[in-house]
Amino acid sequence: MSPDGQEKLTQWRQAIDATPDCVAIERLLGDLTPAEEAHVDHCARCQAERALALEFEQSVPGADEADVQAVAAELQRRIAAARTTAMSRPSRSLSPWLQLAAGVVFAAGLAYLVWDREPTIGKTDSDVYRSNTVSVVGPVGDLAGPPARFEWTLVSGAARYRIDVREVDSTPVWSATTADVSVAAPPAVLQMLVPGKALVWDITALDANGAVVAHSAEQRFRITGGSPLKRK
Amino acid sequence: MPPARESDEALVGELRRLTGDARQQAIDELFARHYTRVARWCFRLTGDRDAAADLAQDVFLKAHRHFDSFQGQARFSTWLYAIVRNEAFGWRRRAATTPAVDADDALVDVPTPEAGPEDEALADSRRKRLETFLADTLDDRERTVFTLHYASEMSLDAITRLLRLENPSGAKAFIVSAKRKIARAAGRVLAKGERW
Repeated sequence: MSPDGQEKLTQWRQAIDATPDCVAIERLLGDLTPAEEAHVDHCARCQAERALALEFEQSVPGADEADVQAVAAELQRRIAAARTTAMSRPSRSLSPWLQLAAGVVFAAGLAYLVWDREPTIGKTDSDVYRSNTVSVVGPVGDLAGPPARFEWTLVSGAARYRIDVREVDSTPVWSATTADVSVAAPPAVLQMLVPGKALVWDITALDANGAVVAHSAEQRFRITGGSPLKRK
Repeated sequence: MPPARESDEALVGELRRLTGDARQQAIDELFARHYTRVARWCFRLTGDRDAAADLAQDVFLKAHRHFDSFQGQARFSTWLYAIVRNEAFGWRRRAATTPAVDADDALVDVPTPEAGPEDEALADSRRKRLETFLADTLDDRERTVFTLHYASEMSLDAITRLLRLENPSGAKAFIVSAKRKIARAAGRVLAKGERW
């Protein structure tokens, strides 16, 4: 896709992307305040997320039911097999989940848990759902090209997230808040990215009252390819 | 008549008082109630039994690992869905070998408001104009499909399955309709010399 085409798609995406006013996923099917309802009524992103959440909640069987039951059966089989393995080994717990997590039964299915897809500059193994840590997805480390988005994992109890991007000497570059777990990389950040120049960023998870729920470790990244934007 | 099954929330309250194997068995029971629900959503996202089983397994592993973080501030199924959604989007990023949006997508030919100086207030104003334009131009279903495809980068097949679209061509029909409406409406705005 041409750079101009990419720029246009980016503009369209930004029009339907999450904003600081968006309602957290966990709240979309609950009792919303009048202000939240008014926002959802107008917000493409919230409506789309609510549609997906509703499908999960309603879980209506369809023409694919044979496939669904096969998947559910496979899941149960794996757990039962892990439980059998757990019972045959000396263990403090019969938990099949611990056996699965230990990779006893299906190492291939768990490969992604240990697979580090990116260089480990600044990467953290912080546990995403722990009460005081936000785990990030990317961008982290050396990248061939500019990142399209900043992404992290959801924190239970968080209503929104603040992202802060800085130069390595802590000079602020860009900051934003969002209810989503990702945000598009804005021009303010992209135009800073020349090959070899590093930026750092982190995420602060906030509850509905604005109090800090969790914080990520500082992440560092840089591009090794061409600059995404010509400097004006 | 068998006794009514206690709710998820009641079961959670009960298991918090348990320890050891009894607690583990109660957690297993709680999770087992949602195997099919999770399997259904994962299959509709992936379209593949093996990938769906892997994804569902990862969901429950995460749920088990972080079970203590569930404080009961939402329904258990809602808390579980947040994990499903997160794992699913992570899976999609890892599994995608081709972009969900084609390089020759006709949407890039639709004019957008002029790019101005990188002033956040102006950028926000432009975003809001586009957001209002889409709300005025598309119906709810078109806008949902449009958002899932262009913002969440979900494939049209996955959108068709997840939203259970039964029309011919599924999500593709809504995208085609949306782009046609957008192009027409954008043309009208520009023909009048108006800004979006």
